[in-house]
Amino acid sequence: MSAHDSLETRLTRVALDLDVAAQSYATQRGPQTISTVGPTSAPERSALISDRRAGTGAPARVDPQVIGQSRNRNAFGLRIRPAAIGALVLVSTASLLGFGAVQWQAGRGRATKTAVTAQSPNNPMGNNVRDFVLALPVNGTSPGGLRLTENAEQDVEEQLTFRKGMATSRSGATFVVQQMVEGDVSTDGIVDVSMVIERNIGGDETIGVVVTQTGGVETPSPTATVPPEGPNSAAVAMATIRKRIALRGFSHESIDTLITNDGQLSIVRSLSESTVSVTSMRIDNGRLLTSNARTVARTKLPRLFDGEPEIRFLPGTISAVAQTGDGEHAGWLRARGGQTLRISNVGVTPGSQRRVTIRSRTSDDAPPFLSSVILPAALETQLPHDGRYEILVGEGSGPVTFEISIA
Amino acid sequence: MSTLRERTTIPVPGVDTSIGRSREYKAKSFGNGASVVQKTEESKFNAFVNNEGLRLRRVFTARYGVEVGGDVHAEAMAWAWEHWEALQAMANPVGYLYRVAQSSARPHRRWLRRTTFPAQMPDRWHLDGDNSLIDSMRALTDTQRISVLMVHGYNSTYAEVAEVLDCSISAVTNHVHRGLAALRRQLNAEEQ
Repeated sequence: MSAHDSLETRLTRVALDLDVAAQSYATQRGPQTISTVGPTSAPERSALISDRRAGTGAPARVDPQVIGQSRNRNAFGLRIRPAAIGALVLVSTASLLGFGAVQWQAGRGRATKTAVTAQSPNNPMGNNVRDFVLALPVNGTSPGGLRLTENAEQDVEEQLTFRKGMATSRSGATFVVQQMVEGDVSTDGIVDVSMVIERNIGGDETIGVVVTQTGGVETPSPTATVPPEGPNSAAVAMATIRKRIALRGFSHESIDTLITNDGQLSIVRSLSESTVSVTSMRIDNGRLLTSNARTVARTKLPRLFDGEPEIRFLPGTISAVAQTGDGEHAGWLRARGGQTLRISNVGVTPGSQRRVTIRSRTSDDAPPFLSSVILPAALETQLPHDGRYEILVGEGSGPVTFEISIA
Repeated sequence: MSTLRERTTIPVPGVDTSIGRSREYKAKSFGNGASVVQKTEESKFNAFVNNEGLRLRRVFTARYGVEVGGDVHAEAMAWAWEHWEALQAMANPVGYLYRVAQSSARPHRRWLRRTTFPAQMPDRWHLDGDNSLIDSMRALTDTQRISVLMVHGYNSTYAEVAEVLDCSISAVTNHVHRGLAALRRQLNAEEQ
């Protein structure tokens, strides 16, 4: 392009370039898809609510009050404030090496999280993966080391960027954060979680999900899930199992509950006794279409999901045991009376034995209704009533990992 | 489990999305004539996207850059689909969608993360190197940049630009005039 061309000619060329770039971006971005099921993005929610108001659409499954999220607060309910911009961190991953700038901080003290936007100058994947957000506690003492996060509102915006990055993931690449350094922050953390998502497109909307932690922590290899039944389920599973989506922001121990429902994947994490963070993603054929995160009251959680959600405690969650008087407290779940609770061993070494006690947590005086079940034998029982149930694992050393599902 | 699933694929101007573009419409049953009405609405909406939508995309690209512009354009088109009936009744639907896109672009401006023109990573889009002009355009005001690019880059009429910006034609004239003058001034200064 010559500088001697007239300004109008140069403007025309720039306009053409922009048109090509915009078309290229639109192609890469894909067509905009909206759905009235599983509201996960603003247009979807808007459509759903407007449909409900007009009395024509499906009943709303999300309380509009739940939708609202404080603009300046993250999912932890902590106020987000701009941080010192420009503090450099070194981000080393399996496929990326670059520097990032601290972008914001949320919270105070130990709860402080700092988001880091990093760009990779020598990203071998091209420009698809442009930046990502890391959150690290300022004091660097978080168990499990450094964490990624996704659930602050700022991160949700970043995840829109991730969607472009997900295009790389579609090729089968996963990204592992091996080390991250920032000043005095400890580096022997981890963390990335890859999710292998199987979907039976031809049959029911059952989705099997495997969470695999990669990085510095030794964890079992990906757990096999039961492929969904239905026509072509095997073929679909084979086709989609190769599609890995690196979901940044989910440290292994931070996931409480994972709910799959009609193509929507939701990850529920406890924030406090009364609130949970719900991260919802719509995944279509291995591709992340939309995602959002919101903080909701725990009591409103069932309203978010249609029908009977499948609730599955992930192995890593149960492994976070705490010692109690009569054994190891493995966790608790909320369930309905009559539901079948199934515990199957996943992480228990064959031959080892564990006693499992399940008791109602809703009523402290209620006696355990199920006890002395020895793993690794799978057990199934029907829960007597609605409420919370506590799972205790006793007489053993070290954490035990197993899987709980409710049918 | 939900059995209701209604999906709509918004066409992208200039991009062939015909594959997998079987659109299912909202389950409003009006008898046998419903499909005809729906087909008509579909063709109307597609025409709108391919004409006014294309113009809007260029405007958004000029204002917000390739990436954010593309995103807000998609948001605006999704909004148009959701409110298609109301939009048709508006006096200036293009101008309204421009305002919708402004709201959609607001999150991109938070946290000191300003939108940039032409993109955050210009090399990504293979802009062929008229960096001086692009830098100069970046220095213009949003309305000046939109007006200059639409009028002299895309050969839009002043009236079309005025419709999008929801301002008078004379205002667009001023934007173009001042924008061109500023560009010439900056480019001349660089050459000297």
